[in-house]
Amino acid sequence: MSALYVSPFNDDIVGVPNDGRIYRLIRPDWVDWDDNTQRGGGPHIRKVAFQDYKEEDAKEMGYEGPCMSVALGRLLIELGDDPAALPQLTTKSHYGVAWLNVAEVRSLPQGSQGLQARPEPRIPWHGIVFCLTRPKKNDSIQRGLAAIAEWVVLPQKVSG
Amino acid sequence: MAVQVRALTEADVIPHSAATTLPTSSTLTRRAVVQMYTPPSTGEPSPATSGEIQDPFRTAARRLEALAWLPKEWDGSHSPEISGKAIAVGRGLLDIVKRWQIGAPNVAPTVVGGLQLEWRGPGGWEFSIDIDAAGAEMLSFANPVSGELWEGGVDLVPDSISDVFWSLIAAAKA
Repeated sequence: MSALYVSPFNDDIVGVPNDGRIYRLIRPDWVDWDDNTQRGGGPHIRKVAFQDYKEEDAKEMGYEGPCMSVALGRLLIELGDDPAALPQLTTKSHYGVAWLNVAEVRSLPQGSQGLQARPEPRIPWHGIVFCLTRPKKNDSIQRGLAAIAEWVVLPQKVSG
Repeated sequence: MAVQVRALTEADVIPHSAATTLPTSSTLTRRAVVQMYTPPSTGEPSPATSGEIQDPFRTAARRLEALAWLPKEWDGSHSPEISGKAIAVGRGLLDIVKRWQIGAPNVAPTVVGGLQLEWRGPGGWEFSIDIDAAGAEMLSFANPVSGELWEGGVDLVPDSISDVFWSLIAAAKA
């Protein structure tokens, strides 16, 4: 598929430089609390945490195709916001936050990803991550992103 | 794919959630309670508390029902609500997999308006059933030790899902 696929997105290497970080909110039920093997320490982040919006929904939001929402470290710094405060900023106080290195995301072995800054009034630090070699993230890509993520803040552990 | 169907032994699967609960009269009673459960209005799981008696399938069922109440943008960005169709299919699947005696899956919402049931086991193998907003299912298996990856859709035939599951788990143990 990669030889034929042309992404509708342009990878913005200026707006989202390779030496930056992106941040992803992580729900408590996106975590395997019994497996402490996450890079950098802490419980394993499940692949479900790195899915794209489906094409119809993404287009309805004004995006060119399936993509995943993230917070861009550069924009958070410019706004003076602490990545660790993202759960509070988004009123998801029991969620956690994981960070990923932009260069690693772009060169993901399972499938190269592109990034864009797409700030919105409600979420001015907002950016998107999209596939460059296929229409949307498959399981391998989701698993690959989960493998390179590191914790900033753990979610509030849940039970019952 | 060759399909092997056989009886489960204790050595076969050790789900991460330690959920090898066999059906008993008491679990059947609890199941009836689950069906009467009214989920919290927030759609979010409750914080952990000590001293709870936890039936993993009851927990999974309760979490699934609670996801029906998630408001849109629950991911902090643009996620849609979880569809009623996905909840209904997930509910049926939970009932089915409970009979397989393989332990309860983790139940989580997906940003496509669906659900994911996932099992993880020794060596890091993962088996998941993704249910999209329309109720369609996709199976996925990964074994990081052997490097085996498998993704595929199946018709909504419980036995075929069971067959695929056991075949993949047998391969993971080989």
